[in-house]
Amino acid sequence: MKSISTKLLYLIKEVKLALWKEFKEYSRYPLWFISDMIALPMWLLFFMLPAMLFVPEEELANGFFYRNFYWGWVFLVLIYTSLRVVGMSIRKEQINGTLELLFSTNANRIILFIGRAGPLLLDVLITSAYTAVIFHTAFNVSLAPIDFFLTLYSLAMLMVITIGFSALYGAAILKFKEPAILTNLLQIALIFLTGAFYPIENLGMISYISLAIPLTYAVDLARHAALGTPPLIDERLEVFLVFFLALLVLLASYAVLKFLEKENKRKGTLAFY
Amino acid sequence: MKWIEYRYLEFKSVLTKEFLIMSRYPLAFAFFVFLPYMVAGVFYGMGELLAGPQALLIFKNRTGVEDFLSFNVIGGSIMMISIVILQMTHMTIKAELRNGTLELNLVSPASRFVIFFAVTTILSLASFGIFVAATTPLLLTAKEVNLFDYMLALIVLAVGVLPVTGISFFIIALTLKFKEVTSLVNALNSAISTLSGVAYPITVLPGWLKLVSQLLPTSHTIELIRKILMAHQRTLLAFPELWYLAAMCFIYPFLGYSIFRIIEKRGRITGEIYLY
Repeated sequence: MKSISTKLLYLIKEVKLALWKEFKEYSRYPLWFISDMIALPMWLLFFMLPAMLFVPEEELANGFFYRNFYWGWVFLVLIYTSLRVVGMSIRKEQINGTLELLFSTNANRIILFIGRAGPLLLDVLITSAYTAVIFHTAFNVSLAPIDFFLTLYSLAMLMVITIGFSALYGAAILKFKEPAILTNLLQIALIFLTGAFYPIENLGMISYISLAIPLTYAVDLARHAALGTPPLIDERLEVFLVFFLALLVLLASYAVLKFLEKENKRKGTLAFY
Repeated sequence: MKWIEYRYLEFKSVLTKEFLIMSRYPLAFAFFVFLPYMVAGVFYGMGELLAGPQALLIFKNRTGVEDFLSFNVIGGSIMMISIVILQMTHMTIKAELRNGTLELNLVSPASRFVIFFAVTTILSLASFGIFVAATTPLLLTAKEVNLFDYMLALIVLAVGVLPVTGISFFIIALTLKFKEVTSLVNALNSAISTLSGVAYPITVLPGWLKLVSQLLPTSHTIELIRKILMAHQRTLLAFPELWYLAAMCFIYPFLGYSIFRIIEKRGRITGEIYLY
């Protein structure tokens, strides 16, 4: 029986190792980093500039349009990035043929792949800051969130919930091996239904589906904290709800991942590709 | 005379080979033709979501553009042309590197310039096909069909494609040097798509981005073709955009080819050109 402190120490060592491995690999390709720095804000402008032309000029004057687009884009990039964390890592190891080796260790399954979050999040952080500078110089608007700490909290929860979805996607890879269509559907559905760029009431009847998705509450809290939009429920209640949902999604996805790994090992299909 | 004949035969054979490879994927061509319409649809949907049924009216008031679809399809098809030429050039050279067939070409006595020029030529020809296929429905449904305008637009396109070909030589050089530059090509395409005024007039760009957009051949090509096909303005020589484009026709291919020559020459000496 290991003590809690020993377990915690093992966990920290696993996280450190996973992060070290991913940063090492990421640093091999500086062109990726430079390209992301150019491409991400450029695509944001590509979609934002035409949208701007559909809005009467007087509505642009108070700057809400730009702030809404900027923060919506931050949520979108974070969701997209976090979705890649566990799921895409499993896929990558599967393609490289190293998945079986990793799964034969006793390391924590989510921690094993969470290292990928390190370089990806650093990428998001730098790109967001850099894009904010571009936005500020180009459109002369302040992008500062209304409530800084609540924004940080909601973004962290948004990331945890999405990593949970990512682990579910990883589990789907163990089951179906090539779930490319599922990934695309999941990404589009999550971004469209959770209302990163608009309040979910704009979706009409579809908003009932949105309310059943845990990520919607994290996005709503983030919009409230960053833009000052009214929250779906009482603010304090939403803070707790989001924490509870993040924990639930993470635990559920971990359980599914473990179950499918066990099933694959029992049937001998883990190594199939 | 023999020299010209050899170069011609090399050009013809690479062109034929690339054409045969390209003809394997007719769906990709259809996708590129369809994409400008899809992009127009996405922007229209976004407008409806933001402004409701008044969306097109607001767009017209703010830009002076009467025909939203033509405006977007012309911009979108030029964007596709740039994406096809730059992306496919990189992919073709990368595939040759990966398969080990680039070395076969490089050890042959064939001219390296001709080999790579043929690759970019076939992509430029495909681009013409994309533009014609994407804009034909506009031509057929237009109130005023004018074939002379269309011919003028094709001439402008021919002039506009040449600087893009010059940029593609730069991409070839980068591929030979760094091997994997897909992300960089994506970044370049994102900048070209955003700064060329594909779905909006360049005037809406903030000051310094407007300046950068003037350096892109696609900005001037889109602007000129819109003037010809949508406003039926034919005094081509009076447009400053044409002169900018004409200057780029010399500068970009010259710069692209010079960088290619330097990297290729150095790569042969160090042997890195044969590595993958």
